[in-house]
Amino acid sequence: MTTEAPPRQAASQPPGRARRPWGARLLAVAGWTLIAAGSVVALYVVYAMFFTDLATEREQRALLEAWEAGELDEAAGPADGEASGDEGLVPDDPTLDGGGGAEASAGEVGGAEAVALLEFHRPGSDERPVAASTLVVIGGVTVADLQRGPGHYPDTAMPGEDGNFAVAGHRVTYGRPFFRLDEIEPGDEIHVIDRAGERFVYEVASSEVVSPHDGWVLGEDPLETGRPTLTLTTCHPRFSAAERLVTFAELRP
Amino acid sequence: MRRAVLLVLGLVAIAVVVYLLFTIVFPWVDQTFVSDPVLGTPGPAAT
Repeated sequence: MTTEAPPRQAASQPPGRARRPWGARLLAVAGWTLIAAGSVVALYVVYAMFFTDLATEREQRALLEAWEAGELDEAAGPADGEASGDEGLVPDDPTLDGGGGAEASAGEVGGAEAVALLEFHRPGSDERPVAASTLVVIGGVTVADLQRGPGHYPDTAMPGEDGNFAVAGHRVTYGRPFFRLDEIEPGDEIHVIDRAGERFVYEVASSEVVSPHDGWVLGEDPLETGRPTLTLTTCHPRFSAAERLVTFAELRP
Repeated sequence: MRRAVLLVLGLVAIAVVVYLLFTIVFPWVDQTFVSDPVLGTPGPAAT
């Protein structure tokens, strides 16, 4: 009784699997590449829409609770209980750099002071444009600062002062405080409460889309009316940093 | 046995890639192209 040796190719491959032609292999590689690319895009959507929001919302909640309880100095650092060194919300220490720079992750931010509260109101309506809840404004507009909430441009006026109280806020990530800034209308009210508890009511005058280099909107009197101004800036359009959406409001006498 | 090792190595590789995406790549993409609300200093220079 004699047995024939199996063909060489069949011995090196699992039974039933013939070597695929080049075209099919190329197609398989292209397919897996597209699946990988799609997975990365899906992960980015999760990152942008949910992941970055988690720490920011937690931080905003902690800051607001501390503000209302008059305990802002103790509310420093990440709200998840991780140690953050000696970075604190010291009222007299205008920390302009959150310390993390571009490398700071959402859980590592902390350090800049909270300078004001922002509330949006539409007169004659229960509707609250832009943000349904009260926003805590952080001192500074570094990457780390804006991961905690809207940030106050350090070289601009404080709430109620002569000049321009300018605030930047993310539109699509990190809590997206200004996601609906385009819905604000002239006549809407922006209430700003400072650290002393004084409330200033600004009335929205106009909004416009500008270039990222249009620094004039942060000037002392961008509307040239001579009245104290509040300027809000965010990226535009949504999911793009190509332009900036700017809203101007003036202090009510 | 070899298949199990390969499986573990594959999962570790995927975890490392996802970690790098979330901590380095996505923040850079976000700050550079998607979400920079600051005026005057566009892009990473905002820091």
